[in-house]
Amino acid sequence: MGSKAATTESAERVQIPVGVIVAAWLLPGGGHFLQRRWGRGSLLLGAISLMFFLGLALGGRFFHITPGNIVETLGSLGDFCSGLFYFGVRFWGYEAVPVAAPAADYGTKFLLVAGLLNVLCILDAYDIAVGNKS
Amino acid sequence: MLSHFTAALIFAAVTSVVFGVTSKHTDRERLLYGLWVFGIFLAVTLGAAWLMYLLHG
Repeated sequence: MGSKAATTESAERVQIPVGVIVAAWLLPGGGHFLQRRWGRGSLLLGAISLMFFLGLALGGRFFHITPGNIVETLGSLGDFCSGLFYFGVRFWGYEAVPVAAPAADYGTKFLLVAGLLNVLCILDAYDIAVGNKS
Repeated sequence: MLSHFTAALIFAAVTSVVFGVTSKHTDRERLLYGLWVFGIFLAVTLGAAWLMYLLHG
């Protein structure tokens, strides 16, 4: 009984670090920067930026939310996880011309994986914020 | 023009960095894990390439 109460109390005490999560989503490594993990944040920013912008340079396309097409819709969710990179590029009107070229296909995968890798960064920043990692 | 192998290498390098940074607790563990993941990516890429070559000629 006592341990159950203690567990409930400790669960109530955990604050969700919303600022860290949003910063980590908007900018790869942003959650780490906010917590003064400059080295790790820089590595994450560099790696994910490289993948994202290489994807653009190769002419990759973004996925779109398409009712009835789960792959396309999940892909758009992955792209969305790139945060400001995604919004910035969409805002400036980037739209890849569909071409049957392997390089463009690599580009599409790079764009998607950049977003998915950023999800790992968000989770890592969260872990640091709640004290699960240093 | 980026070859398939170069694209795979870049993919492996970037993914290894992120996996290494986000997975472990000390810098040494992160470095070793990143190198390990990169090596596995490389081995699987080369292994799959050889397998396809042997199967299809």
